[in-house]
Amino acid sequence: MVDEGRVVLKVQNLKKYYPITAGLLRRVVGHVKAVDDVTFSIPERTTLGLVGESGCGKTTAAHTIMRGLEPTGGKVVFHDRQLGAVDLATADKDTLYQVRRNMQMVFQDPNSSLNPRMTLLDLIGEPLLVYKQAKGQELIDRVAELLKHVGLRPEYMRRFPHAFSGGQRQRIGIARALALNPQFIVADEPTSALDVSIQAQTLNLLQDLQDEFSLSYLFIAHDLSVVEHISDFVAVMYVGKLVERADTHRLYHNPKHPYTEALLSSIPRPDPTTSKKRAPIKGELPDPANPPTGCYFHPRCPYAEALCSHEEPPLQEVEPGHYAACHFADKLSLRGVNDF
Amino acid sequence: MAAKSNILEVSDLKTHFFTEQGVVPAVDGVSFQIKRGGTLGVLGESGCGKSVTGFSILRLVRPPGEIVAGQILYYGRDAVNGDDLAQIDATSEEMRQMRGSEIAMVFQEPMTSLDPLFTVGNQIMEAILYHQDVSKAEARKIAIEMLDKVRMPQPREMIKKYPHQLSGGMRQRVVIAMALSCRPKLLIADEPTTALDVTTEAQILELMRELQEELGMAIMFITHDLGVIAEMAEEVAVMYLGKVVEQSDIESLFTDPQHPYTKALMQSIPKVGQKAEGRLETIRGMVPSPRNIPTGCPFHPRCASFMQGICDTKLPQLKQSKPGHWVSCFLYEDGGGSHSSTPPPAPPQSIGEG
Amino acid sequence: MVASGDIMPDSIVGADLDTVETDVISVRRLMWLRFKRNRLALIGSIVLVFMYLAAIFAGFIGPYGLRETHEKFPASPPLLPRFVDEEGNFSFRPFVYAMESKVDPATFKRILTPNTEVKYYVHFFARGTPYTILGFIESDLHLFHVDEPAKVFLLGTDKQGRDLFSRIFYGAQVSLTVGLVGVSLSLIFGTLIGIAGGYFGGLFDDVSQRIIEVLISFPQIPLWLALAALIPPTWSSVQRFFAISIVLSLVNWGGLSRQVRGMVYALREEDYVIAARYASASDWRIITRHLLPNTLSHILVIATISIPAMILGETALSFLGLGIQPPMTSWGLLLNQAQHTRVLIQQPWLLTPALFVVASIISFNFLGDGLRDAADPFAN
Repeated sequence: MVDEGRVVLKVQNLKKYYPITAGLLRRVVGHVKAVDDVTFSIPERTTLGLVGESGCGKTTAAHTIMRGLEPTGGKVVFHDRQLGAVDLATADKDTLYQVRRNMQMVFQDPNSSLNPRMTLLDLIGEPLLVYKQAKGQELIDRVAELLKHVGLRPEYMRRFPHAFSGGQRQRIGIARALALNPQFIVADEPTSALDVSIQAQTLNLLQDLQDEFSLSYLFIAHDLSVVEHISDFVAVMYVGKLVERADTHRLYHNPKHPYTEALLSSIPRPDPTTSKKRAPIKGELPDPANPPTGCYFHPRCPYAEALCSHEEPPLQEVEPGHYAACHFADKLSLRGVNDF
Repeated sequence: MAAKSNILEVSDLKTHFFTEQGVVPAVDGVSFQIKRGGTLGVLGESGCGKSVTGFSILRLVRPPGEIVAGQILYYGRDAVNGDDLAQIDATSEEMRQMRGSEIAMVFQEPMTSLDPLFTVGNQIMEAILYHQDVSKAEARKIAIEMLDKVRMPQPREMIKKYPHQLSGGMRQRVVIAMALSCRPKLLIADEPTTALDVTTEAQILELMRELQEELGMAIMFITHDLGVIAEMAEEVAVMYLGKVVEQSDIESLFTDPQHPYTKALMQSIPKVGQKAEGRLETIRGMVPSPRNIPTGCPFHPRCASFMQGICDTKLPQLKQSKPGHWVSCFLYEDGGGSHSSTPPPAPPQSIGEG
Repeated sequence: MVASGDIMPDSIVGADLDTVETDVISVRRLMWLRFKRNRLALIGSIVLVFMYLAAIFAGFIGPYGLRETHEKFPASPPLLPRFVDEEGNFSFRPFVYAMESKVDPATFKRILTPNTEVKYYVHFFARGTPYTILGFIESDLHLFHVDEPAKVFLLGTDKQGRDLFSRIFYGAQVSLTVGLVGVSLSLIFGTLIGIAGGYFGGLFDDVSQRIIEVLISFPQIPLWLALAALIPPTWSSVQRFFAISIVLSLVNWGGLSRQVRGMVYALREEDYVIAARYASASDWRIITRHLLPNTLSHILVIATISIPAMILGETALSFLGLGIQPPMTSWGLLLNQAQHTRVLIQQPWLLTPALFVVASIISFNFLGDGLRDAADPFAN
């Protein structure tokens, strides 16, 4: 689908399992498969949106990609500007140190992601200091420049985070992620803690910065309208697994997995003229420690057949560049976002 | 006098918080009506006073907060003259009976209304026994009935469960069951689906609509989400910094939004299924601190249609700009001239009721 | 990087229109505002400031020296300055009568009879017994003083005839500092082990936690007694003072360490620590720049709250005769004389050091409460 050389991140069969232990001796009796066999790639200068409901493993996947968590299996191939292709899943400390210049993260909650005892100068300057890229007056100048880039006044650099609103704090977090001039940013629900009117500003800022610095994003969110707006490609997760992946337009207008259809039908539309009677899907998210047999979605799936309850569907290419993990992906004709 | 068709009429409500750093006018002259069995959506961003309005109606505002002015006329008990909730002692037995049996509330986070130490059955029964003169066995029967009503699977088993054994969506169902167990005539729902996932949210919204049809209670639905408000509300009041800036029926609000704030809000959200290349419209700046409310129209520093010398000096009043559509903005002062003689704040739906 | 733009997109313009000016205060100032709001904490800290000043200037406040005995006045009740003489005349200047001290041959009780002929006026800021402040400032200036043979014993004397009022302030020097020294020791020890355990986890954490669990499961007083009994009797008073501090902190550091560990354990998973890790910050940097600053205020609160336990510990040890030894004195040692009910009935003034113990402990607790409010300046 995309030329290998232009891919910034390639995640292959990534797994992150947590053992479930029991008894005094902490015998392992099973695993919570928080991230189970996730595969996708992100071409340069594009945004991949990763969507799913809470507990589906999207945040765990992000931290496993960043190697904040040790992967249980799989590969995370990052095409570093300086080092070339590096498998982060097995990279040693030195390699990680070098790679982290080029990949950074923006967090969901701007309150907890900024140390309350540090000024903006210390917060944004930290990566520059650690990488010995600047100190003294040069550090001040660099931080001032970064603040300007995210729309904050450089005069504020000696203030503490609590003097800023949620939207401004998120800008501070973005400035910190930008400090080392990275190629790739993982943004974990960067707008979900923000007010509606601030959300748009932040999304625009992320898009502007993408153009300006040739960034690629892994954009994690549960809000499907935001993901549609910002993403070039979208991957949908359900209980640790990818169930569908395609470019944004096809995934929203021509979904191939019943769960994607269910998600699309559930979005509350800011349009009172659309029908209010869209029978939402039944049932609850399964317990990831004890998922259903076969296809994890089959107990809630309106199209499920006998096969679904005992055989797990693999993620298959249904059309060029469109992957879905459903036994009947090419037989079902599912409704897209505008068909409700 | 005939019985009112409104269940609640709030007029010029002011709830202020007297903090050490100064007075915060969280709710500053809010008026609206809720029809019997109708749904009023209250839309606004954080800090606009929408939740404090809900708390004020139930008299749950605690010091340093205080209702400093206004009427909250509730026509559930006395359909002709109404009871002014603002005048009842917040801690009195009368008010306590009012909460729950007449007006109930559902919060964003279900665990704020659930005690982790008791089974959900116990908690619903307790609410029933407090408000209704029934035996324990009857209360249990009603509790099971209510859980069934909120589409809980196997309600007989569910009443034995503790809150932590349930998912977020199930907990919210329990809270709704508890709120509705005494058949209140008005339900105040404060962001009841904000903490839920999108598929669960759709289920809960659907449930609330069905229950409203079945039980006939009025709903005051507080939310920041334009999508949710479009799904739920018949009438909408848009709030900004403690004031209602626009009020109309839902269709008119979405097809012909008038206040620059409402317009900007609608343009700033990405609309699913209509992906446009490029950027979103934004509202510049941010919501000012409620301690530091701008003079004149509180929205003027962020307004795209700001008129110097007018918007920053005078406070616009809520006026009818077209039938059934009320807006507080100087852009509509002339168009709505025929109505401008109405004394502010004009209560929209009560015309011809008197 | 791109130079700051001349034409900025609207995602940038106006993003900072309305920063609230009142919010531009440092965390430290916020903490002070919070602390001030707690009246009791303010009172507590004022009381403590006075107590510590009094301890430093013990020689000045007390009219007599630490070891000064008045052989003729053992176990004397308080001899207070008076304003009205035998004839009922009022005098603005307080004065005392000299006392004749005799032993009743029948009861063997000491009887004091005032000699009303001569009035000895109380002199303020007068010269008297020489003393040293902080070990190096020599002086003989006293807050108040009466000429011999008259005496002024505000709180009476002990059975050796030493002025209790003066000795309480000398005792404060020991009682109020033993807690500080002890807490500083357990602070250093507890914080180091708590941070190391909470941040790195692993075997070290397991072992240190088990040791602490054993330590805090012991009944405190017997453990103190056992450890204090190990102090060689040949040690000087100063050595003994530090030994007692170490004994107290050995028992105390575990609780503090556990709390520090708990805080670090929670903070370790905070987004800002993870962000620092993703910026390749070293463990040292994460500990010193992120974890310590965010736990320090809480650590100080815990330390303040554990000072009273130390003061009580010293008091208990000295009361039982295993703590501070004469010629040094402490509140506990002063109370040691009041061990018998008979003494309590006949010489109730010997209990006054207990009032000072109570006042200092309540003040420390109030102060701790206020610091706890201040430590969380962002809470509601």
